[in-house]
Amino acid sequence: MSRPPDMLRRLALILVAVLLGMVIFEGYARLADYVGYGNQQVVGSDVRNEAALAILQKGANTPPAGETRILVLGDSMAYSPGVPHEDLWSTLLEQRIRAEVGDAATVLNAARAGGNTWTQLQQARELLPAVKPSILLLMYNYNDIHHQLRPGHAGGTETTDNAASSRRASRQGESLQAEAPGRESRTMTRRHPLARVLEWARVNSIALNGCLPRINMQLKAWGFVIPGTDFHHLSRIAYATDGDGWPEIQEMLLELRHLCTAQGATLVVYVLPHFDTLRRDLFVGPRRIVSAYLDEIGVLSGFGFEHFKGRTWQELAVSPFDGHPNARANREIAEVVYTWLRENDCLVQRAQTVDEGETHGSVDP
Amino acid sequence: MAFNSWVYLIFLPTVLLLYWLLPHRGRGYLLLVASAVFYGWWDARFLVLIAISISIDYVVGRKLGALETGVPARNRWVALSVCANLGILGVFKYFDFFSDSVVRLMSAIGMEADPLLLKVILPVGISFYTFQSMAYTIDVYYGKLKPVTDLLVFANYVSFFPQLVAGPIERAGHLVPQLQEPRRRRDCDIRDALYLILWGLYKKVVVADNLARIAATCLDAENPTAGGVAVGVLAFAFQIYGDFSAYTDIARGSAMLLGIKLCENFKLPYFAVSPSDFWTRWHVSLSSWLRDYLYIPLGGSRGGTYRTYRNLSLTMLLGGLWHGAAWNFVAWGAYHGMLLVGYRLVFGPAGRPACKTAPSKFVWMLVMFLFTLGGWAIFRATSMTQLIGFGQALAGFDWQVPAFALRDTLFLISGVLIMMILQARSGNMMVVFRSSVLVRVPVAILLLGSLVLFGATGGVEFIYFQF
Repeated sequence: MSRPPDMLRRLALILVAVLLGMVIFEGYARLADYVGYGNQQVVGSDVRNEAALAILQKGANTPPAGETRILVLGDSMAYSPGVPHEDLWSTLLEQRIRAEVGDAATVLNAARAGGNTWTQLQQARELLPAVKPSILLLMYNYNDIHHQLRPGHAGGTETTDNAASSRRASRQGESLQAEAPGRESRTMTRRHPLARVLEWARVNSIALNGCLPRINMQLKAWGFVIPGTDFHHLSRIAYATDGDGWPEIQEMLLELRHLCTAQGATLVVYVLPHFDTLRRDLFVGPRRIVSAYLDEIGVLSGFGFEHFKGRTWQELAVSPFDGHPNARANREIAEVVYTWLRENDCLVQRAQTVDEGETHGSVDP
Repeated sequence: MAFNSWVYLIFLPTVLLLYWLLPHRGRGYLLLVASAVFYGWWDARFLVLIAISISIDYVVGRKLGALETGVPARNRWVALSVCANLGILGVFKYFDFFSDSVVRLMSAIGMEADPLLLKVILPVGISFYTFQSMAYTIDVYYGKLKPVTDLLVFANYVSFFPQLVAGPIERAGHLVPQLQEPRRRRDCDIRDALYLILWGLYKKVVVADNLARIAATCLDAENPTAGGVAVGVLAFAFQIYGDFSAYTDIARGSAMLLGIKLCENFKLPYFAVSPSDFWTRWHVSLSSWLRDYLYIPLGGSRGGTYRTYRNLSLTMLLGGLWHGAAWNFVAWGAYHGMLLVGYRLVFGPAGRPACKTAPSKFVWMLVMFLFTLGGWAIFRATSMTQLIGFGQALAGFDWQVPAFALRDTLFLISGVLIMMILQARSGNMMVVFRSSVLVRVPVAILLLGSLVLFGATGGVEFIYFQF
């Protein structure tokens, strides 16, 4: 038997070396996961104003005449992990409104990390009668299907963009789906074949599971969308095809609208952009669809993309590990939401409201 | 333009492609344009300063070459070069610092005055290229070097983009001949170059930028604990090493792809057994510059013990000031000066312990590392108040460490530490990258994967850009 040519032997050696490298890298990533490196920013699922909400829920809470009381429901972008309460956008928004319309203004941030439309609807059912806000500000999110979860599922723990936490998110997604056997038929039906391969690798390899979202994130930042990724699914398929949960989200938004009307509150929806997609508006399609639907049901909607367009992750994110808004971004969110509310006549001067004998400090947009 | 930016990832291959297509003279022009683009990407206005430095030192070099040794005019020409370079440095880097310090001093003795501040931004790399350019005229003055007659070569020597903004500070005797000679592709070791760049990127993006976050958490806390300060300073020690040595590695790798070899700037500094050993391993191009153009002209160790101590202290003091216009850098320089003097007092003129056995060498290495950490605490402090705060925290003996800080620090430095041990044992800085394909390729995958998986996003600037 003749010996294989040198070139072939060399190629075989390189192939072995590459495989060896992948195994070693997988081991390294597992070691990082084992020691817990980079997991310090894991976000909890608590509510920002828990104490304030508890007090409100105990007593008679009809706001005094002229008080602007805003209840915020949202996801981790609104919850803003890692930012102290005094720097939180909702605290700053409250201060801003107080400065503008008088002292009687309260902004209660009941956003939850990992929250989705389903959890927000549950929260609204519980909190609206107790808090009696004049405005229910829904910071609309993409959590519903961002982690391949259906809106019918309770939102899991929102995680950061690192290997261990992404893997947890995937596993959590799996377990949540497994816990709801009646819903298998409603899970993603229009997945790209490549998506299934990537999903398998993502779940089974810590290294890949960590690297792929980061590569995806960088490509998103450059304005590219890779077919097969959750982002592709979210931005190009889910909303546009009127499937994969969007009809259910529509129902929930409508229910939220009815709940608000019944409680004398005004539902308004504001959409913050993801900070890793500020180079190009990758959500332009879904945004139009969501906006059109909200118009249809008579809900005011606003979008923060234009304000943050072209900015960098470094400027706005709380840390290199965590893309949630930092203190600076929180200040800007407070300002942009305040301006939006004011421009849409959601805020009424206290004096004027008192004169008119209104119960609440808001008008229906 | 930063090495750890996506722009550089496009810039370097473009330059390389054109560079190897052009004839020798064309390559010179291309390098000049590339260097201007590289520097101008940050702020094109400050290209004028480099142009001034190049023009003056080129003319001075030619004039010095034309004059006989001993002619008084030679002194005037070299003085012009030194004054021009130090003048640029003084105005753009030190003016506001000294002006503000004088006013504070006057205020302390009861005299009120408004500081005259220029408030100009510090041009990146100013300390590097002015020192490099000045070294050339001084070498020509002493007759160690023949003047460069080709302006293009000289301009490339001063503005060579891989080492323009953060060194290594090259000597004309080493770089100019390489720029003069036509480079051949076979002279350029692509494999070594790519590994150097990859290793540099790993040290910068994975190690230094992530350690920066930990150091900030531990050291910039309102009430730091002793444990926090200890871990924070350890994190900073590897952050600054990772950051600066990464720049050198990427610079050397990039230059190597152009067929040019730059000098090594770091030789396992944390394995030093004494301060003098440390300074032959840390920022070698600067310490040798200070030795040749400051310490030796001051008299070196020729004037007796007292004068040697004075010269050492003065050299280190100015070396500290070179790092930045702030008192903590001066204090850091003074601290290292004291260490050098202290070791000489204890161990005699050699200034280093006799490490006859491996355990004793290890112990002295550890001692020196602790001294180095003390220096980094001074270097890292943003104010005297913060430095005092570090001291108070350590005196408090509260060894609580911010959550995850120690674990993350150890995890991040482990890779660098393993590499350093391998390099030290083999005596070869490229030991891993020149070994079998079964080692090289997995290491490359590990480094690349780590860049993606653990790399800090956001592109933090290199620390030494500000110096």
